[in-house]
Amino acid sequence: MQHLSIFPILIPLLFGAIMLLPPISRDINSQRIASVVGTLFLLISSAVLLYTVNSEGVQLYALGGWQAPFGIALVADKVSSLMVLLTAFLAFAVMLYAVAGQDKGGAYFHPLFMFQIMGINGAFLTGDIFNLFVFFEVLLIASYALLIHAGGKQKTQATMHYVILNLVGSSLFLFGLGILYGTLGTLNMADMAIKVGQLEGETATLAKTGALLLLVVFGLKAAMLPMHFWLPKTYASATAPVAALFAIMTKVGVYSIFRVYTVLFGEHAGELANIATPWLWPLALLTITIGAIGVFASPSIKTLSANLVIVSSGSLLACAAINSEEATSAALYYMVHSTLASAALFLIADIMARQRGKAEDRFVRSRPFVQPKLLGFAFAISALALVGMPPLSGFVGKIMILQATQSSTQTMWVWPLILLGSLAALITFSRAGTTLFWRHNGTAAAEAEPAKKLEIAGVALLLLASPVLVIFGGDMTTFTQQAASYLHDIHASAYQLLPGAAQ
Amino acid sequence: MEGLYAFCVGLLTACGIFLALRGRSFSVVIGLTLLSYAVNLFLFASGRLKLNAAAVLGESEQYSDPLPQALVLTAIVIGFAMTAFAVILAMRARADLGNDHVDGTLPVSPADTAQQSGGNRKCNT
Amino acid sequence: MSSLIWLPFLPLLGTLIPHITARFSRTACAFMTAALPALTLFLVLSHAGDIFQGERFQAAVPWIPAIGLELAFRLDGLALLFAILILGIGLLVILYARYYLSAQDSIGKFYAYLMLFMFAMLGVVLSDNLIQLWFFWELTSISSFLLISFWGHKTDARKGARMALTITGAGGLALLAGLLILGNTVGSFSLQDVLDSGDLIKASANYPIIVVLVLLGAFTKSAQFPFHFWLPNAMAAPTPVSAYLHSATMVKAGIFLMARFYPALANTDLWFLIVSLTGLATFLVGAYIALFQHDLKGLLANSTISHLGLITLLLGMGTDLAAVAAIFHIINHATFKASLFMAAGIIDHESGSRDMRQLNGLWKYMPYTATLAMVASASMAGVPLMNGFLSKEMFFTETLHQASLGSLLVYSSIGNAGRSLCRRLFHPFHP
Repeated sequence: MQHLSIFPILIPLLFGAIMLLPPISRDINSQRIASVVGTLFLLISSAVLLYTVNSEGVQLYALGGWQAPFGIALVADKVSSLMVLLTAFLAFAVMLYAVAGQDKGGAYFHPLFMFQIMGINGAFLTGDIFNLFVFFEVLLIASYALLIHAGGKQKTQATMHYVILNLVGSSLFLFGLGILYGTLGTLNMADMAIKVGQLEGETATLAKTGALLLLVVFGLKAAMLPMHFWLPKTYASATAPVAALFAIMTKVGVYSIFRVYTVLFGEHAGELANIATPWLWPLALLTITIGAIGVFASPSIKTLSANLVIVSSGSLLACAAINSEEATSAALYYMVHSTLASAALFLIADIMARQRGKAEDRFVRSRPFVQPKLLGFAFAISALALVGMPPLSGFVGKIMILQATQSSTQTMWVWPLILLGSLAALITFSRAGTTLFWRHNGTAAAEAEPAKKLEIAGVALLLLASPVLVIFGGDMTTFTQQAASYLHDIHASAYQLLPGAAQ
Repeated sequence: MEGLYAFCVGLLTACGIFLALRGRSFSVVIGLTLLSYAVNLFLFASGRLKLNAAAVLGESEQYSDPLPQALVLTAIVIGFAMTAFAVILAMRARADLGNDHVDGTLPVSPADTAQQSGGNRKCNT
Repeated sequence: MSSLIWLPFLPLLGTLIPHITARFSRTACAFMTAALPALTLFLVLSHAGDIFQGERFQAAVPWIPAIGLELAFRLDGLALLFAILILGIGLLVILYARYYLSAQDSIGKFYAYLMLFMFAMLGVVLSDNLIQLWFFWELTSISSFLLISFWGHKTDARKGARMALTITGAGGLALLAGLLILGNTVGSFSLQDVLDSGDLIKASANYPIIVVLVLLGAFTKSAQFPFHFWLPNAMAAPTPVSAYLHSATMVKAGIFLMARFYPALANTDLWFLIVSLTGLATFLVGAYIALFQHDLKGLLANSTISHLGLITLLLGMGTDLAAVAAIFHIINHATFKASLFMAAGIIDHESGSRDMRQLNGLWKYMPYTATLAMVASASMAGVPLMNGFLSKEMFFTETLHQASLGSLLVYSSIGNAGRSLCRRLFHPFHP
């Protein structure tokens, strides 16, 4: 199918728009049905897209028939279609959870959710860097509104920080884009990748400024130190389905870093080759450290999972800093794993908080759970996955990252930090688990509601992904390796996307 | 012309960043607006500054790059929407949190319980 | 031999059985749970004849080649010995737990955890791939956490479980780093390749790092000094768990690791220094602390630490006969220490106390337990005609050959420690 590549953007857009129109907009039940059907369609079309890309190669879609580099192109390659499928799967599972009742807290949850997915998918698929900015704004404005969904002091406060930071980030993004356009004269990423190698002297320095400004913006999205401080508060205060969906937001930043600093400013960029690496190294390592300290200090599960998001961002940035095919492959695997596992933990934390009365999800003595077995099982699975213990997917990603280091200096820096980060998570999770499940007094709260069937289904879907990623780890890693080698091969990821480009 | 233009962009950016770093939501919103003005001018300049040059071929002797103009248009629209959102959010925060500070709480330093110093620290409690 | 691939997974299948059969009587549940380990034991034993002939069974299926992980099992002499220990003592513990656990304890949950542990432990000893070995190694840490915290409502059970998980988990991460460097040095993650390239490893510049990291994993698991403190705290677990994990099997995993990599890593000065000195220190510290214990299980735990130190010391000496003595002592220690733990459990269960200052004259009330405990303690102290005597004699012979260590010190301490342990152990039975 020719138009397959644009479906992941069109489907959420159409469903979101329909839900704003009168017959559906007044009735929450039909909105729910529309949302579940929409995300299911999205999941199917993303799976078909991935299958097509895998069997037929990269799908290039020129919007409006304007050929690149003059028009805007959507590029569905192995990397972007994997991320789109991940988003679709996450959205479907989270939507199952949300329709059980979490969507009632405020108006327009469903349309906003759809627009957010549209923004995320667009950011993954686009082959034009200004278009990337536009989709960033789409996902951001939806996320601003989703974050404040259901209201409350904490949310307003967290949203305030989040919005201001991201508005400044958007301005910086445009400054960077302006500089790059001024020096390169194009905004198509493949075209930029080809032209950037010809820059020299002052123009190269100017382009470097622009490129590093973009690193600041992507770093802000990816919660890279020192732009990480907004994340724990924001994620911990958001409504559970929103926080779970946000698990992919940092990955959008990391994905953009991989795109821009592997393809555009990678090995072939002449004077500007690997400009981000010297910055990424210390920042990635510090991000892991700060994240691990945050994990240690977390007083509740939501904060804990938010800090784990920072640790995983740091690990992914370390992969970007290593800048090799193995590292990119490791990062892709780890991205899929950590997105799903942390999203699951956000949802589980919400179910727990509802059953513990005033204690919520803090690590203090409280009443026992209404469903101790179910929650214990789910918590144990997500904990094992996030700590990176066998038999769940975390350990594969961790070993892949460890194995990707190239020199002994890299090994000496990356290994201890990643391993100590796992140890911090292990200690905190064992403390959390023993406190939450075994230190209790009295009986289960009478007013506490047990988790609904749809909620359990959503969490189960996310958790199920973890063992599946291990059992079919062979196929999965083969795929990520192919995707990584595509990204590192300038011939495939730039020249072949521009039919007329001279090599 | 280039010098004046660059000076304007730089001044706007500097003012925008200064105001965005302030503690009250009103000055922050103004700062963000100034920043977006600066950005728009800057984007416009990325296609080079030319006089008497239309963006449509054949209308004038020289022609200018139409792409930055399209970009600026997009950026203006997005920036406008974002500013509107930030204003609404600031009002909501003023109502929810009881003050207009971006942290939601007024900073209390040992000195200003007794004497209220000017500028940002002035409390309206 | 394709059945070898499925062999370790039988206990994993067995984790489901207690859930299904828990609604029947406890006896039925116990027997049906025991069926699968018994079958596994039978299958393992059926290969014993060939293995004694010097044969080695191996089977492998590719899994995740990107990280060097494949599903690979091997059954050789060392694996056979440990598999028999794990399954044999496991069966006895299942039987013992049937009568030990009270009616309030969920016996189905207990058996499920126990089978999970058995699966993990069996996976460790049968592994033929470094990453897979680590995979199961971490699973033993997780399942032992669940077992120690079985009585999760008790504070000391929670604390003991967390401490055990932290120490063994940290050791597991060190082990992972060590195994990855080892595999990268050799160029293959297959255990056979690693064992075959001992000279290459010892010549490599990474050798000291590998030894230290792998030994960190082994020492934390086997409660060697200075990581010994988690073991006495883990005694908050139900006694069947203490008997199974903390005397017969899990603490032996570290010893197993040293024995497994003995051909590849041992016989160097570094190995000798680290392993034998740590073993000696553990041996002395364990015996010393044991002398001041009032808690029966605490006493046994510290004596276990001391014995583990002894085995480590033997493995560090680097002579072939010392290694044989170490392996022999593993069997002996597993048999007599597990039975002593069970005896302690019976005393605790029947009298309601494990404090030796409160227990007196039990001989009169439980003569059978007393006799059995006496036999086991005599074996532990190395009384002639017992198996402990043999391994102790082998140990002495070997230390005489190794003049470098303070053998005299070892001599005197072992005699003293053994004697006083015996006296104190029998204190409860004195009239």
